[in-house]
Amino acid sequence: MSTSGDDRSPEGAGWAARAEFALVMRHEADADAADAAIQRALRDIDGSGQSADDALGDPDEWADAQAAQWREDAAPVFETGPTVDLRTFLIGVPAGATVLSVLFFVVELIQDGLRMQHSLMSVLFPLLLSVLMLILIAVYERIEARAGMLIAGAVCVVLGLAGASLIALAAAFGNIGFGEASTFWGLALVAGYALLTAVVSAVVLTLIPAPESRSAAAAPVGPLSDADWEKRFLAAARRRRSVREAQRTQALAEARTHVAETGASMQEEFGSPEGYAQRLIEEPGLAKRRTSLIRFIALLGIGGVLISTAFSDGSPSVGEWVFIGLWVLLVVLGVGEQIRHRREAREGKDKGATGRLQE
Amino acid sequence: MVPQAWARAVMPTAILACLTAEDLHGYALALRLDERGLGKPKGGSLYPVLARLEADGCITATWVDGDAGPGRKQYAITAAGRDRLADERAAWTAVRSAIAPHSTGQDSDQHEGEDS
Repeated sequence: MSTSGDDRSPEGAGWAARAEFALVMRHEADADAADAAIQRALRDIDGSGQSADDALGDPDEWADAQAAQWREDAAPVFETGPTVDLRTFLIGVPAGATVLSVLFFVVELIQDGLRMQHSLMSVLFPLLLSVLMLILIAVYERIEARAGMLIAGAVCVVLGLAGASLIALAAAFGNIGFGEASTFWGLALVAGYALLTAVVSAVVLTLIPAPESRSAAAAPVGPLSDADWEKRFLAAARRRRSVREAQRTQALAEARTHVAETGASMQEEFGSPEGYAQRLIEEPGLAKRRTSLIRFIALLGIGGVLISTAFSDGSPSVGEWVFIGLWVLLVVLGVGEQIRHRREAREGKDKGATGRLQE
Repeated sequence: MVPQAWARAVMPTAILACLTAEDLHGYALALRLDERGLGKPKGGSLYPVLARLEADGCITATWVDGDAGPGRKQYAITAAGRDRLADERAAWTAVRSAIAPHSTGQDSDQHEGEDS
């Protein structure tokens, strides 16, 4: 974050950091816009003798109010582009491989003990899995913007299965064994991937320029046709996971009716498509419930792989039974969480229905 | 003409007031607000307010098929909406009394009804 010309005390810098985190991470606002707003707020109180906390209040609440004002103004400051672009993909692959290799090391230590069979696939598996995961995220984001969550999810399931099959085929027919050695060689793999991440990051950050902020790229340059406005509105609205598809399409239908009556364009009546998408009302808890459901489905999938692997060569080892037990515990907790979420959703709907039906 | 910031602040109350007379669709509401001196709000300002009122249970909305063109969403006030309108009208009356020429700020009830 830029601090040039605004030398803040550590307390002020702390306030600014928390406010920026809230705006960028919680509200998904453009980092440059967040920085500009925070610097403006701090400049306004400069010389007052008051601390940022005293003059501007809690940074999280300030960020909530700022985000609400931006939405009110339909300001095009909210991130609407995909998170995985070329830069993040190239850096993310070795970074993901590093994290996965740590996980696999722990699993192998529990499953195989102090010595294990090493092979080419055990070295490459974290990297291949990381590539697959980032491809799936990139594909999901792009398809979701065009066709919605369900279709994006279905495509990614098919793609994921295809990718996993390719990896399995490579393991079956292309593997080269390195023999038995200490399981702790897995730590060398972790270090190797970490080093690769550092090198790739340095190269990528130097050679590939950062894109302009995703919201600036999405901001209209010149007039937008109604068709382009609608396409961008839907893409931005679909990124808001707390908004149902029915609400998005209804908002669009209402907008079409309105411009048909006024004779104005979508852009004239509704401003920036990304800004208007931010004004759709969120359904409380919907994003949390959806994320929880996706996590639960992934957990069930992991369990399927775990159990089939454990029983594939006869009776599972002690380590494998431990993992199966942990998985069962997580599934039980997950089922409880899903039941609680459904109850909360039902209570929320009943409350709303009661409010609307009161006569 | 009412300042834009005030018009935006009072828009939810004004929408509820318009709907006490009859059910209206979005564009008709915009025209009624204009007739009341609050300016004709653009769709980007109007529909989020309507969505918030609907989410709060103050209005209901039903799609009505259009005669020749696209369907329209027709809005109607609910009992909760009427209660909120009454509360907000009382609040605006208190504000008006507070800034009336002879108001002392402490006995604003005595000067209710006096116009500036």
